[in-house]
Amino acid sequence: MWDERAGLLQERLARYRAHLVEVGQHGERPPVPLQSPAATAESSPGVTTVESRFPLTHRHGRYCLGQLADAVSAWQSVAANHPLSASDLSAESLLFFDTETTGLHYGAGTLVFLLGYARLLDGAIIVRQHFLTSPAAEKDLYEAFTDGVRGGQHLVTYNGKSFDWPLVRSRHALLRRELPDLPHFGHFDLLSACRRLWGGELASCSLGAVERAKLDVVRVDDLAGALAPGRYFAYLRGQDFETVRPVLAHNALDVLSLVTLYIHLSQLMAGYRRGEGISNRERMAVSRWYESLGDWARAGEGYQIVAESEDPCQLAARVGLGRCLKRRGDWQGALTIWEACLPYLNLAPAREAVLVEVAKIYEHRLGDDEKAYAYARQASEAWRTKWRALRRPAPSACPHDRRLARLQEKICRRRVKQEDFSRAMDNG
Amino acid sequence: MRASLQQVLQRFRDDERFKNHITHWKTIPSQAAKTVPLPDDLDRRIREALRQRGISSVYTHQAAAYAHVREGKNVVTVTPTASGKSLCYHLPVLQRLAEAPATRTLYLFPTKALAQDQKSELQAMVEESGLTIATETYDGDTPSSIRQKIRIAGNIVITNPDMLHTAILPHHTQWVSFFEHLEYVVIDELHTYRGVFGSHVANVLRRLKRIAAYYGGTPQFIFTSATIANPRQLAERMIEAPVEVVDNNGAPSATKHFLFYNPPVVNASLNIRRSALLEARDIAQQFLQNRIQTIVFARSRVRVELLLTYLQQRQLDAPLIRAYRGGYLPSERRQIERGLRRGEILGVVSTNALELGIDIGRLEACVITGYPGSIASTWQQAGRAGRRQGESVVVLVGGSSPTDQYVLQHPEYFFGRSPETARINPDNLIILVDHLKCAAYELPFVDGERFGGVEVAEILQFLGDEHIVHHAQGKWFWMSDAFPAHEISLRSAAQENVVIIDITHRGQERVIGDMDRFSALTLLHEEAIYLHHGDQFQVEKLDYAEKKAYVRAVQVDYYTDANLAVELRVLNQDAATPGDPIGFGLGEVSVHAMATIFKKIKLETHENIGSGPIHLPAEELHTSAAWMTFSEKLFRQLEPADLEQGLVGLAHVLQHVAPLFVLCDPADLHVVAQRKAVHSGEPTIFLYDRYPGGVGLSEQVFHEFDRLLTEAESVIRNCPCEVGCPACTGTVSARSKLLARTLLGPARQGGDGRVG
Repeated sequence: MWDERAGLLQERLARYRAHLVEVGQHGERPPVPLQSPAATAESSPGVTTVESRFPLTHRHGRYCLGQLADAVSAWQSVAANHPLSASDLSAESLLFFDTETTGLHYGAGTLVFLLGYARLLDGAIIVRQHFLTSPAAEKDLYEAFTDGVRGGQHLVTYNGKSFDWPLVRSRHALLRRELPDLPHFGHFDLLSACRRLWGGELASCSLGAVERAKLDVVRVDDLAGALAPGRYFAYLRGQDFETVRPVLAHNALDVLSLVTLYIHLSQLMAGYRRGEGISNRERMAVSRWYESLGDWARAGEGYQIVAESEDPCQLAARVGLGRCLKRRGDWQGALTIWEACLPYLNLAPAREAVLVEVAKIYEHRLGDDEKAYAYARQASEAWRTKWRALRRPAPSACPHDRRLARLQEKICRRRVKQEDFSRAMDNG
Repeated sequence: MRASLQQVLQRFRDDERFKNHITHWKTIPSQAAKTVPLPDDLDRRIREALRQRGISSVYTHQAAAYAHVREGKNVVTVTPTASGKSLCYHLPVLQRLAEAPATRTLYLFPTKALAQDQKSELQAMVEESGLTIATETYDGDTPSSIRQKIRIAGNIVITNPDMLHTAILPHHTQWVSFFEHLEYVVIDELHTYRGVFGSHVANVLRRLKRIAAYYGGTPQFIFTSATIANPRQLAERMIEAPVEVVDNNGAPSATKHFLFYNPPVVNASLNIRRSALLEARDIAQQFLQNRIQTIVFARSRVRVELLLTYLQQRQLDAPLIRAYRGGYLPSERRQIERGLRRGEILGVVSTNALELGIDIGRLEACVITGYPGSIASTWQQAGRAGRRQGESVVVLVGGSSPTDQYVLQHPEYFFGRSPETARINPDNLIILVDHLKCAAYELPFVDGERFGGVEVAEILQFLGDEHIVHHAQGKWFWMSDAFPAHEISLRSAAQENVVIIDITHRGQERVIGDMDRFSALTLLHEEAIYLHHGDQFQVEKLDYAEKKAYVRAVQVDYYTDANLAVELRVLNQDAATPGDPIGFGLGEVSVHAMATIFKKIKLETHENIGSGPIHLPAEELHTSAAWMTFSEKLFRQLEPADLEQGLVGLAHVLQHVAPLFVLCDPADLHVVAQRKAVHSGEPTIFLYDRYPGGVGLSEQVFHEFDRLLTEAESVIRNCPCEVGCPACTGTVSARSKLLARTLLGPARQGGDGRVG
């Protein structure tokens, strides 16, 4: 329809500019030159690979990079069934991985322009970064990447399970006919671990926040991650590598922080019994994690330490310890701890849970239905208190009604039996 | 005692109150079914499923559609409401899945509600057949837990164009196996894809075909449509490929009475008629008080609410009468639909929101308040009454606008003329560029690649200069951190809706609906009376920047009506036919729209009882327009005040007549008169496309100015009023009728030799 006026198209485009280009504006700043460690760069068409070597004595925040080997062997000695456990992995097989992309939307038009990873190789930590110098060369980027990660088995990322790695796979899928398959990596996503450990404590669980609060990492002149796409677009226009050097530096710091973070998390998970460097709050989180994994012994040990302290978590730790004892068959021990806790438990939900447990032990282990009944009654009161506290109408059926009814029936039946028995005795 | 439908109709024939005002009574006879045996190659499991629902033969149109699809052709089936259109696509799709279980089909419905309806029907059929076919809806309501399963294994994915646009195409790498095995795309209710929305959807289909081609497929398209004049043309424009038309309707229908009702004249000299709203109320009343299930259509949300109020006041069991319109929450709508199907709701007052094939069961009576603006739309609304058996009645109550009066007085126009042409312009520059961006996001463009049929090198170069795409090694790569599909809405130019918040009860503020920004200018300004479910609310504050309107429940006996002032400037003249004393032009314009004042109008009597200013920013629009310019000669013959009055009168006539002859929705084409146009300094009347960039309406006007002015002249001449009235020139003052004809006189003589 507009073809008749094709000659005018450019004019029209210019006139309608305001209607057409409201997307794609980025704030821009002049590039800041930044010093990077001893690096070698090697360019093939479309991809520049930068490699930096960090000796094991290099300190990044709280740890020296060489302590990675200790972290891995710590897992081996612990031999725990844990999602972060490296007990059957070598330190060399871990790839601390992060990407830089042209946007945060997870769609077909978001490009990965930098793949960076740190790994232990030949007695040093090597940070290798594959940078896409032309969007037409994605195939070369992923070839360089699959080549470079050879020997790696396991990714360590920050939110990589839901962002970086699916995005890499989506880009790879677009070129799947021209490329070998991506390696099948295992994957530790440290974000979920940080949320478990510090979610209640830190306002944000971003890598930056964790670095500052827990890893003693101080970044100087670091480019904010959100500015990375704009830098890349500027680079494509001007082809000046200095424009993106800060992006590479930022990415290198990210992967090094992943090493430090993994060392630290391993310390906490493996060495939580020792007193130094771990707060009781963290010890509780570690114990809860072990408990959720069904590792009652380790969870119990953690709870025990806190239970014997003066910490405000002490009561919660004792309740937890009771759960672990019960799970390990020591219901007598559990009962003792819980009954001792009850007078101090004021919070309705926690109180309700313990009361139910205690009632169960009296009913099923000790056969004392009267006591069980009394505890179950208290549990149902705590349940009502809980709903009052929430200022919401309680559901019509209380979850403890069935237990109460059953216990009442048992009690009545026993009384009748006893009466029958004594009557028989009298008659006899 | 209750009367039957026949008795009510008899009353209309006999009673003075009604019979004199029924200008036309057409009885559409019943039609017997035309069937043929089930197709020979149909899988026995599908036959069995059909047998279980009592289907042992198919209608002629169903058989024809099936045959075309089996031959590998694209097809569009055009038959009336409730003629069993959905089997036209279910049959071939299920048959193909019975043969090749890995194939995938995409079903597109214009709304989520329709998708839900079809899913239930389809799943029931699949279950009865025993075939293992995964059928799921994929829309905003789909839980994320099953989304992945649908992407990987859904045989039939039911969705809407908006979802395809924002959620499926931009994420095609998650849909690899879907696109690799995509064989059919089913598009129901094709006629709804017209104008701006249709132009957007045509571009979404360009993107769909492009992605499918990337994964090695060329899907076949199966359309169904209500009756329009150009189904083949529309379908072919949509997919840029040949399409077969099936229109041998074989479905039976029962007797239907179609009544044209023109409200009585209450002031003969001014030709003022009684309000269509009040007349519709009285007619609907006749049905409702006899427990005849009735749907009443009104043309705006305000009128829907007004009618609801009127009807509830008169009806003892008010809760049985409900309103249905955009702005209600989906859950409320579903509840009303269910109530109608089950017969729990006796009457519903609706905007054209219920025109679409949402299943509300069979109603006996339909009252249409004011001509809906198009023949197709009128038939769609009329189709709500009476489906396969039992008599039904449709009453079209005319309003006093020139359009309504024209239709009421020319029943042959309505019954004789083929229905409207559905027009789209997928190459509208703004729409095209929007979708080109989305397409570039989805896959890089290769040098020389076309987008649909369009050569796009120049546009890509433009986007490159704007740093939105980047050219490297013969390809154009998306190079922006934006997600273009999120910024482009298929439904309207204004993106974000204004949320309506009820603040009547402190501490219990709640959202009761939403409204697009343009409508908000005149319906949600401060002090406006906003009607929701028949309840009155006054707008206390409109936060236009934050898109929030705060309303409080009130009880008043008036409603509000706002004026919109429009300013227009010509940016570029693309074509012109200079003439003396009247010339014509076509080009691009910029339009400023600003709400100025509002009036308070008393309910029932409709008298003006007060007014106030509106302080809201102007909305700006760049679009295309056609215009006619009157030369100096007329200045000399006319007083300036007369000239202005004549222009306004003529503009009023054109506003109503042009949509009839350009065949579009009246809201899509606006008319503005200027005493001194900025570009020429001469008196000018502009007709402009309501959508940025235009969808081709003003071009059509430019090419058909002759015919248009002839019709305008005839409307003025034939109007029984003396000096002008709301039904022709809009004003009753002085001599507007005469003046408008004075302006038209030279136009009628000097219009020869013009080429478009």
